[in-house]
Amino acid sequence: MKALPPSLRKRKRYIVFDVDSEDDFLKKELSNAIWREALALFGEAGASDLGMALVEFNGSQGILRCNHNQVERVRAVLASLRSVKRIRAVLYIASVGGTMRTAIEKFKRKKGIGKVINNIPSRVELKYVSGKVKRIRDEEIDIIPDKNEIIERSSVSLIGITAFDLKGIN
Amino acid sequence: MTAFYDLNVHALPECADSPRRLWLKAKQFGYNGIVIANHSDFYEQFPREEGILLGVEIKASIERELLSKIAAFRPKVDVLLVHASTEEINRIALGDSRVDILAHPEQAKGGINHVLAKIASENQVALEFNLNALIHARGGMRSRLLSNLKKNFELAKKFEAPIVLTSGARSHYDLRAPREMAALAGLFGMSRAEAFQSLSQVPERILRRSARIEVIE
Repeated sequence: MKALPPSLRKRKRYIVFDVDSEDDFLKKELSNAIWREALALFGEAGASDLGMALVEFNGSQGILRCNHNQVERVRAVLASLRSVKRIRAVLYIASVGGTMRTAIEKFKRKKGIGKVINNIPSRVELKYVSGKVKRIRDEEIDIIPDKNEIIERSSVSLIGITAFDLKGIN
Repeated sequence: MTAFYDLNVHALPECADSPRRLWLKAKQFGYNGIVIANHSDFYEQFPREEGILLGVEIKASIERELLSKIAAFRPKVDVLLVHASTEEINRIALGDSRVDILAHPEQAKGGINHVLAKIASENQVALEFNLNALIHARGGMRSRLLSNLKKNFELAKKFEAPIVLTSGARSHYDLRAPREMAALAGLFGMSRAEAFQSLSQVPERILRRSARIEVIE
């Protein structure tokens, strides 16, 4: 089928976003999760107006396309996303642009290399919590706690601290 | 640039993240400060640092308990919130100018009516619009929540009660950037300008009142 001429196409916006999550997931899984949120929030008729499509996702950054007059509603959809495949996650919108080209420019801009932090033990004992270190990214340290009480209250699976929290006790 | 503040986030030992971890994310989102406001049973005297301020969310079921807790916590904290519960507790909290914020009245049995909104306005005690439940609830629960928020927002606006918008975050996955907060608040009728004001000017006034603003500036 012949593609629509540019003058007849719907105007779009390209939303570049960052993802922070407890574990990894695939593009398809994120796309499903976003659609489920849109359907929950605006219903089938409402979600059809958004014109959403997940164009790109590399595990930590992505580009979502939507209709140009629906950015605020898509923002609400992305903000109400709490998990992907039961993995806690948060999306943060970095920029909104009118063309794929500007989106890719923002997308490609690499973040600085994280600082290397030495002497992180494999187990930590803090005042309120103890457990095994699972992941370290820059100053962020995620811990699998020995007791589940606190993480259940927060509906997450990991305790989050920073490298500075450890400095105090060493 | 506008300075944004999130006046209600929960940290260790109540919830899963340390204050510094929450601040790391909040700073990335463009906030100038967050207030660690654990419930009073989990209160912890954190050292104040860049961007991290100290608050408490008082939980009380009777008047005497509430008043004694307000008196005990007020000298220690920058922001004093009262966990909304019965109509009586809400009324006492809103009538006491030592209280800064009535937390999430939309989830309380008592809720807000025209009388309480007027008291809040007279004493300049802010009504909190907490977006945490909006992120976590689904289906009929969220629908009911949205209609409560809508009703409370209309009342607060009509009687000119101060309004604060907070994430009520229980982990750094619950934090949202100001623009996203405004988009969520738009679901119950708040305009973007109103949302930004309740994330910046109103919180700033509350912090200035407790003379803690210089910590951030």
